[in-house]
Amino acid sequence: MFRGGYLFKNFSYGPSPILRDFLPPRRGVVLLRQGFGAEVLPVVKAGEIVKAGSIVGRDDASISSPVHSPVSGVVEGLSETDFFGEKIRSIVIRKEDMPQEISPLPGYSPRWETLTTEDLERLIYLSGVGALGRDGIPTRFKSSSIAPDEVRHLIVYALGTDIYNLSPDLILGGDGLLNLSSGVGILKKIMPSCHFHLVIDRTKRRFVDDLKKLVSGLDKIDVYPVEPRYPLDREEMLVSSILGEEIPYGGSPAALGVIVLDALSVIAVYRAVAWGMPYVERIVGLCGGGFNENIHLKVRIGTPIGEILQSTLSKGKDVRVVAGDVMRGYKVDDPELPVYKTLSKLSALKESSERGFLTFLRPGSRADSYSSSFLSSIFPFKKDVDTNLHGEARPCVFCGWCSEVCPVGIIPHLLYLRIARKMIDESLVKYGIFRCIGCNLCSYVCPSKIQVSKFIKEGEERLRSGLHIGEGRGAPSACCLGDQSNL
Amino acid sequence: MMNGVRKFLEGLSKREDLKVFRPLIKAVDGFFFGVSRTTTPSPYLPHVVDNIDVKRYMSVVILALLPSVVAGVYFFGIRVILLIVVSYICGGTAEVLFAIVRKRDVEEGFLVTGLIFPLLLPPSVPLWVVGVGVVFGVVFGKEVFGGTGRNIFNPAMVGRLFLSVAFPAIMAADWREPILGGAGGFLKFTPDLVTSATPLIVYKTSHTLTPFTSLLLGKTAGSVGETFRLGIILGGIFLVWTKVANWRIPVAYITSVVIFSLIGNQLWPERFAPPLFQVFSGGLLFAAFFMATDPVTSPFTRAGKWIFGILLGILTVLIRGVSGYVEGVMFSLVLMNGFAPLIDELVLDRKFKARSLEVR
Repeated sequence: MFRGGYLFKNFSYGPSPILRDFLPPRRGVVLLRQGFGAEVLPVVKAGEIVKAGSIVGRDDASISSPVHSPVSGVVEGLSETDFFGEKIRSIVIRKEDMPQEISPLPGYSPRWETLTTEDLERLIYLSGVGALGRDGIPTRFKSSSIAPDEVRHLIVYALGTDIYNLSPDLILGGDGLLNLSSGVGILKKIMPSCHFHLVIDRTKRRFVDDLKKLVSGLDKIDVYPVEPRYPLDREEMLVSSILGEEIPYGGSPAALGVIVLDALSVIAVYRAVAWGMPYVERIVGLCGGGFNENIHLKVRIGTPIGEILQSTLSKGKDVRVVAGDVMRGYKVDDPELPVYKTLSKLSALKESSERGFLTFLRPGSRADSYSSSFLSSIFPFKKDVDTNLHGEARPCVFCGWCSEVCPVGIIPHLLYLRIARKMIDESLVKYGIFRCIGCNLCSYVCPSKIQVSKFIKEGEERLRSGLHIGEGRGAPSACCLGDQSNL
Repeated sequence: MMNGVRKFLEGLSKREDLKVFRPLIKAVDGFFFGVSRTTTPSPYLPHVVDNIDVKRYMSVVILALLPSVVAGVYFFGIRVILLIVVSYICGGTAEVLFAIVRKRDVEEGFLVTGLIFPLLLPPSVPLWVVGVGVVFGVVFGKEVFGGTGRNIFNPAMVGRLFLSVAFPAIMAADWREPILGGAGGFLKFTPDLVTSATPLIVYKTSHTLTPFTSLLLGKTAGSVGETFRLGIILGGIFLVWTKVANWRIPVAYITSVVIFSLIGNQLWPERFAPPLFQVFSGGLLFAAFFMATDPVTSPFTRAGKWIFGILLGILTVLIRGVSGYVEGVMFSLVLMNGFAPLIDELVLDRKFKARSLEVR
């Protein structure tokens, strides 16, 4: 395990282990690039009738995976979607009054052991599951940047370490664990020489024991029960804590011959192979006090997020909707933005600009803090979550909390001070700026409310743009006098 | 009612004729009513942040100091409260004036400095000396360096050092016997005019060790806040538990004092007092928990904190043992404050050189 990090626990409004089907949308928006891989080419024309689950975009020439129609209906045409500042082409499909069942892929078999590896790989590729994970799932169909026989290690993690996480009881409960181990079996058949590492939340004792039993017959497989300490579920942390290898800056685990997948992706592999399910539906957790109910939805990929929010957000509350992790996700501004293959959570956080009388003196039985200065560190009450800064911006007092929690062992405040004073030089490289994995914990714990992680990002970008490289170590003293306003 | 006050403050902060007082008005407003700002939506920042702020951070230190403050009043009379009030008023005024001139926010660090400073002084100190000392500490210990976070020396120690040098007769000669029994100093203004000697002076002159329980419970002469050592330890543990003080420095400092006084005591017993007496006398525990842990003036690297604590211990034992002074905590701390940036620099050089080679 790594040094540092932070264990988020007892937050209110986490999603309970309930799964509800969300109806297919009136209009589906299918992004032509989702998860790993290049943008694919549309293979349908405007006016064409498509069935739910049929492939609407694929490009066998590029490293990519196909995308599917979420609904049965008529293709309206191509559009362009603003995906958090990035322009991605998308296919818009209007739902028609037709059966909305998802049509299965040809050639699947519940007795997947009988299928050839080529069949397994074809099913994985055609289902679109190949795009999951940071580097995709390797098949002979170019769904990943590396081929199946180049993978040395495959890490599967069944844990969430963010403020809000999908419920492990939902994912691993029922048939979840069984499907997970079958998925692992399928991947083992594709990558027979690869060593498998299963990382699982150790607080879920029952699942740990069951998983160990399920995989006990397989060779080259290890189970690691771990403490769900943020940010262990990041690829960088998993690779360094499990394998002791460091991903080079700008590289991905695949560069080391490592593939990292979450449990849901492996279950999706099983569903694609054994049931012929194209990756058209996924589980999205509804987190935070802004929703009527904190549950999980089974949503068709391509459903506009606005359509989900319309029926699930409680009325009259000022909330900020965040896609993905609360610690590092994007704010959702555009209701037309569709659900994409890798969207696991939507969080509706109370947007709180409320001021409170003598807030800093309150006992705080529901206030989370890295320090143990609130009663919440003694009493197990559920903690409140809102977007208030809870304090005024102050100069750095070198409390050292940012370096205590930093999972990669750098000293964030040291980098911040240099970048804020415009000392952009190779000393930043020396002090490990490129080891930063952007977990944002330094900004979370800072009592002076300094946007440490954003400064580090800024420094990284300036270094990379090369504008300041080569100024030498003698120069920075003059830079200190520069204005700090545009940072 | 609350809203009325808030509106009134908002009105004040908008008035042009009171423009110069804006930092003060803003400080009062922020103190009572908190902030309305929310986190910036960005994938490079968390959407939710920790509930702590610098105000609470400093409040934790004040809370941890309360046993020492109450004990100070019990042993040395109600006048102690007056010392604290004078310290807060004089130092606070200096702090606010600097904020006004610099057009910056009033920072909370002073809340701690203003309380620690009188606790470092002999109980009989004249009030004007408190005022002079705290203003000197704030101005020359902190503000000349650019304010909170930029100072090299602990402001309270700078003030204390200045007084020791400028008024040696007041600062080192007049120690009073603490008030004991009954309601103690809660009903008395000052202790009786019975002069006494601190345990360190007693040891230096007659080689007599003060009983351990007296040291622990504060039944000895000494500075206002340093004698009730049980309270200091409890406050210190609270401070470490809340993570406001880093545990490494007090552990390194105390361990180092034990080891080096043990060595010194074995080799040269007439000079060096035995280890436990060293730890439980003078201002050592108070400094170890409340002053050496000041994050701004101590090293920020982990290894640096260990080195800082160990060197502090060596210096304290040496100054106590072989110099003409009886107490060495203050000098060693100010000296080590000056070395803290250098220690960090050396540690950083080693730490990051080793790592970058490893990557290659």
